[in-house]
Amino acid sequence: MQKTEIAVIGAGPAGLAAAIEAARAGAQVTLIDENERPGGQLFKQIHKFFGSKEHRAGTRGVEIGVDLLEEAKRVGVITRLNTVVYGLYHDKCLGLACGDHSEDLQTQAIILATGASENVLAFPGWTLPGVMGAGAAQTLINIHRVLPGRRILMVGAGNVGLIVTYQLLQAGAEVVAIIEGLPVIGGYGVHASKVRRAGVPILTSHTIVSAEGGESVERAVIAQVDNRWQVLCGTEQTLEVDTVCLAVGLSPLAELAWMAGCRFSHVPTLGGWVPLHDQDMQTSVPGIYIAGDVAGIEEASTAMEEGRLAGLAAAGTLCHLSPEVGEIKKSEVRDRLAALRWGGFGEGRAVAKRQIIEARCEA
Amino acid sequence: MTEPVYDVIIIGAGSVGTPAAMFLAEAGFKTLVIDQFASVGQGANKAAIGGIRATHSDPAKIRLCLKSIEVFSTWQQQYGDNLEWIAGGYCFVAYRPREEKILKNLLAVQKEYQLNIEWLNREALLEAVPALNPEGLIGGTFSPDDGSASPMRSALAFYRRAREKGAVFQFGEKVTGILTVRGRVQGVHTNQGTYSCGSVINAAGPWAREVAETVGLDVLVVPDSHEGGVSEPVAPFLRPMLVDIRQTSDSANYYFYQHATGQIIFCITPAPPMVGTDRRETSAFLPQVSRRMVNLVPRLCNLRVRRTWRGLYPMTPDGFPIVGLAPEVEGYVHAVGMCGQGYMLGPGVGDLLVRLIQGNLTANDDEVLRGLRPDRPFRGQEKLK
Repeated sequence: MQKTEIAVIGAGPAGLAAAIEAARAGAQVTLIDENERPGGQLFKQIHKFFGSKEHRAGTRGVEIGVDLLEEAKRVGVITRLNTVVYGLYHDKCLGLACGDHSEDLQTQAIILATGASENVLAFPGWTLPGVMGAGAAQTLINIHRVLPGRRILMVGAGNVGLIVTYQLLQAGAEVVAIIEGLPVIGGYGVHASKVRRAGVPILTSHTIVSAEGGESVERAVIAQVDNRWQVLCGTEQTLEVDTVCLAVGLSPLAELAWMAGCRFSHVPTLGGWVPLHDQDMQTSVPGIYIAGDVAGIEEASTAMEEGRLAGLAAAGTLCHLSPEVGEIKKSEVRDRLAALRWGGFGEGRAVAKRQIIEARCEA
Repeated sequence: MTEPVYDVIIIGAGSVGTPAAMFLAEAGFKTLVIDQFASVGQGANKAAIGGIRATHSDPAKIRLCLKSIEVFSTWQQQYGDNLEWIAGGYCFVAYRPREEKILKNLLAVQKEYQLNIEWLNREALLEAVPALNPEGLIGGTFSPDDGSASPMRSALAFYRRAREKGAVFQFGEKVTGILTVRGRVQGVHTNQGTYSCGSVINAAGPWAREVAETVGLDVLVVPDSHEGGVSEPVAPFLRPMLVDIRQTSDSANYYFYQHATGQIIFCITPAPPMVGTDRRETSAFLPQVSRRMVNLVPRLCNLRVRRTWRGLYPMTPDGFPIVGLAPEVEGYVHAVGMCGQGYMLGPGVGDLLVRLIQGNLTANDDEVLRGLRPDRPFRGQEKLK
């Protein structure tokens, strides 16, 4: 049976950062991802990141991704791509499916950095070709360089909906409208202003009623909703579109944590069911850590910091760091994490995260 | 306080207790079923893979399972619920002279009890089961009347029918004691209250020993565990349950079939046994069982597994169930130690318990109960587990 000290599952920003930090400390690290390429969602994030200098504000996600991959290689992280982790067992053995065969990997600590999946909305016509997640559309344009359609309706005015709209415009598509069920825009003002300046209307208190068409989407019917999410009769309007993008939130991809028997809590601010974790990102199962969107939906900068924290903690429990040095390094990361969760947009997440940590400590 | 008075209280609403409640209620007994879990079939029943065969090696299990097959195979016709019964048969394969000899020896016994089972040579077997690996295949037994069904659907169907006939179920209640007066059962204490009754049936599966202890009896039931799994559904290509009884260094037999839903459902007997009530899946199971399955049916290598789990087998020292009146306590009935076959034995055992409690046993019943007596010496060993 193959062995590794620390297995990191998911080679997105959280997983890469975790693997680098643990390997830098001297641990033997295997980074596993089901995709052909590492980087998770980083390589489609062609926009510049926010935050402060330490968070690499002003740098595009793609560049951060390239740097992380180089660094991972330099510090000796073993990367296994095209590999699905099908099972996580109580002896900390992982079941791996790679191509046409399966393998076991015996680990001493595991960091889950499996990210999130896009939520969907169910409405008449939602299975027609042309209805897709906004993240899928972003992958098509930024990674594969293919336009998903010509005339697009974006459902959801959070940051994903706003950013993907702008990138669709840059790629040459027309975004007919962004609709948002809430009475307010969820995403940053700066992103909203940008798409508005480009001429895309943002209709708040609006929902999609149906998508229509023969072989694929040809039209979408939208309507206004009241404060109880009920469609107001007579407000329906039909938009000629060939694509409907759904940007209605993300959910943590936490199946492996369920399988490991981790305790969970339902936290709507963080995207739903989230595994409880402590200050070190350790779940209720000793030796199993989480980082990034699986630990609650946030964004790439927090994901990387959580990854560093988990990497330091996991390497620390395997004696690759002295407790004193480990604590100093971890508290630096925690300070940066707190800074990322500061302000109007971050406060809710900061409170939710504190609750997760408190619940974990009581558990 | 006026307490409800029952003729029979069954402890355990699982593979055995639920059909027993149904048959007892049908026969007019005022029946109460008490279970520690929240609903029917939540213990070992839902971990069963759904195989049902009468092709055992002893008269007791053969007779009981013949009755069970009658119940499963006629249920939809009679009551409408689809139990996903398929008479796909059972096929025990032989790739070595050692297994050929064991199976042929058993065949003689099985034929004595008029079971519909034949030895198929290599060519005939490959015709019946074209998916089998032909390399080294000698032959095997094939019993076309055996089959499979859904344990969950069956438990629900028996439960509904039992309720229709007046049986009462109390869920989420744990038995804490059995009330006896001068050596005779008078009632059952639970963590919620006390119920009085004429007879008590212990049908508590893996928890049978704890229940028996509450009346001061030691019943030799020790749970061990087996793991099972289910694949994605695919078009039908495999008719019978395949059983391979070859021993390896870390497992004994394993078996699998294609369920009515198209899914392959599989299970293995670990060697040595995993004794205890731990139900966490192990990392060893899937690689171990899939290697052997793919060796037997090579095209399975293209199949994806959806889920695995681990369930409990209430084992007895000789591998046979313990069914019958307790000689020590009047009115106390054992229906325990099904050794992983509770699902297929359940309806047959339930039907027999009616006549046992009525004191109306037939000559066949006597023969069945002789083999399963609670006070037997437990010296032999079941040959075809």
